[in-house]
Amino acid sequence: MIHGFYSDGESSKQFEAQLGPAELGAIALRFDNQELLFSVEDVKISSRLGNSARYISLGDAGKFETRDNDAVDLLAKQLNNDSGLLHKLESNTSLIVIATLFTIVVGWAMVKYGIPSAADAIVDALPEKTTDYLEGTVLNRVEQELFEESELSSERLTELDGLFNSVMTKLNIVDKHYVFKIRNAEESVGANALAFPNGTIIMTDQLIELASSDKQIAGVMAHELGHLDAKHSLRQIVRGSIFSFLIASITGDVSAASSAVLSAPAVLMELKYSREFETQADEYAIKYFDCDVQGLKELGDFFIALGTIDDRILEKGHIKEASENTEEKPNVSGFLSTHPASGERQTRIEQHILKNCTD
Amino acid sequence: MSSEHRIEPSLDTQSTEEDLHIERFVFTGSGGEYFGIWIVNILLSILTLGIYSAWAKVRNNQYFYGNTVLDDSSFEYTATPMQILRGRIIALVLFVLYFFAESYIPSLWAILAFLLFLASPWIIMKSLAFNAHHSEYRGIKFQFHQSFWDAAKTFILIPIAAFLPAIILSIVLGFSMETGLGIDAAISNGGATSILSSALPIIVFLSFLAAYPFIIYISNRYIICNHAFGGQDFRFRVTSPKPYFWIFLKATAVVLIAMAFFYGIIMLLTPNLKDFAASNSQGLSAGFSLGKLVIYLIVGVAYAFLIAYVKANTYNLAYQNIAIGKHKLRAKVKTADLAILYITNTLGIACTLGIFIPWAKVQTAKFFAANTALQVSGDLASFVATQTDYQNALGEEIGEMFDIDIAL
Repeated sequence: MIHGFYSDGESSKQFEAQLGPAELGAIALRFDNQELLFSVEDVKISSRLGNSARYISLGDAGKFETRDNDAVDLLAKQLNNDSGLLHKLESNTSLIVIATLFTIVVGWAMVKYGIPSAADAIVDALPEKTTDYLEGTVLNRVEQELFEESELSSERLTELDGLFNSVMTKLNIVDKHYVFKIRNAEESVGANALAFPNGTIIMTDQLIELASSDKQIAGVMAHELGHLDAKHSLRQIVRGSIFSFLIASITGDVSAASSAVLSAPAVLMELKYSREFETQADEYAIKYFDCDVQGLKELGDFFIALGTIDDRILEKGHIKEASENTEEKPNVSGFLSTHPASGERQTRIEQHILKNCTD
Repeated sequence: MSSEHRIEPSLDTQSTEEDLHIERFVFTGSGGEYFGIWIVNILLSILTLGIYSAWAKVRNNQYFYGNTVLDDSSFEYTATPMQILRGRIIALVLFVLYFFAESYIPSLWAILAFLLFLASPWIIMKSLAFNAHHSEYRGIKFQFHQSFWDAAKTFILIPIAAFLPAIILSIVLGFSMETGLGIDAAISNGGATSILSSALPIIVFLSFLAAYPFIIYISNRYIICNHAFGGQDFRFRVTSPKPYFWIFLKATAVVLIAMAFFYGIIMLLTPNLKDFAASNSQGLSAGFSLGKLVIYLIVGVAYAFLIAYVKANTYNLAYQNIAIGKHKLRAKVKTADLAILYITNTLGIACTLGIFIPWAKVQTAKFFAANTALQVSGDLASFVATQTDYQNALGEEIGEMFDIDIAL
């Protein structure tokens, strides 16, 4: 007999009671000098959860509550009502250890392969025009706040427009309606180039001045076109939303912890994906130069130059803006940076030359 | 850490009439036991691409309900996974649509956001009703009286009215900043405009400060007064927002004083604020200096205490003043205890990359149970069952998906 409490479902009055098998396969409930018999079909046993209270429904409304979980398990077995599989999983130490390790591995694989390929599938399934819906407002605000009219001469501007078109032609993407703009950003982001998801590339006067040749500028154009052509910003948004959704659904409501603790992995994730995209865009620029060894070398030098100018900006005490040239400091681990280290970028260019362009 | 305080029956007039005694809530779960349930929930949710999460939610709730004991009986969560799953699928479709619209079709997003805003009272109401309907004690269901008009008043109309002065003022403020009116006009006109533009942010701040506690009060009142158990309506004995104002006023005062103090120290240590900003902007790249670490620690601890202060006081205020029939709830959460709980939980979770979460949840449940009790008059046998309608999980799941918070 299992010892517990019985309430009849009519009122909250509770009786000390005993429950157990009786003759003819019935289940007997004894309480308050009474005995009630229930047929097996009228007895429903809740599944076990650790050692929390167990409920057995009796008939339409009656309920028997007990903490004697082992006795209930035994009864459930006798009634062929045994649904203890989950409890077995949840209470088996070696299974828990395996589950923990498995979850960590799956979580890692999800971040590394699962999320990116799911996001790619979504992005590729979206109609070509989707990004056009990104109405001009965001871009307009960025333009107003960060940039002023270019101070370069109109001849130079025309020249650079021509350069942009030739880069587009060489990359075979003239049919795409990408827009190229040059703006002054002395007060804000300095030497920089930005690609916006609606197909606009903004390059700053300062970047043009920093470049020692048009080949370097063309390389940066190709890099930014790489971002646009691979729809990196859309991919970033989709990956980010899948990731936050997963984190939220796994951790659930953790009112004890502040959400800041949980957003840390999300930030690290975004940085990792961001570097991955930068590397892809670099490869696009390398593809543009193909085996123009001179151009490739100049591009590598330019990455280094951008890296040092960023150091100088910081030394002057300016607050760093979200920008394309936030290069890595020598003493930072690669995990905390939006871009690959400039040295690393140059090395990759040299490897490309060695591999593909030596006879 | 001792989090238990004795809760004695209050010696008010009724105590002489009937047999009063205190029944404490006890949480009987353990972190180690819950870890197994939690990790299996995660594992199966991953393996089934999220479908199991509906079962996970039910098992999770059943564990916490089934381990919350009052007068030898525990609570039972009776929702079924299929109900949760149906609601969750619809909510997920809405959520995906909303998320994409936000980034790519702002006009559709605006419509969806507005509809969501209009529907939020319904979502909150349905969610409360669903949870009440599926919470049982001694075989008797909790109930939630559903009145959409009440919900709309509580969660839309009154908040808008209360925030209206603050909203109008911030629009004025934003406009004057945007057009440069605030600064330029002040220089050219001097006098009145200058005073107005510098006083405006303070007025905006004060009107928010006045509106917020009032909204907390009416939403608590709505949630409590519409609950019922066994034919008895819950009553809320706080009849004016005044105690809520005091909690938030004190919290704000402490924050302002602490900020002034902190600012003073920084100014003393680094006379040039630009240097501080510059050194701060390199934060991660320059590595953590000892001084910065100390500053972060102080801010973190202070933040935990502030949150704990507001949570402990609003919790006590709500739970101390709920009455059901002749019975009354009692609550005695202490700020310092709660702050220590927050700090140890957060450190535990951060240091173990989340493995500590089950223990944190169990510790939190134990803490609040230990500090809450029911002052029973007579016994708990006189609640009777009443008829309630079937409730679906849609509102509950939309609310969860969009993070619409409805706790007391």
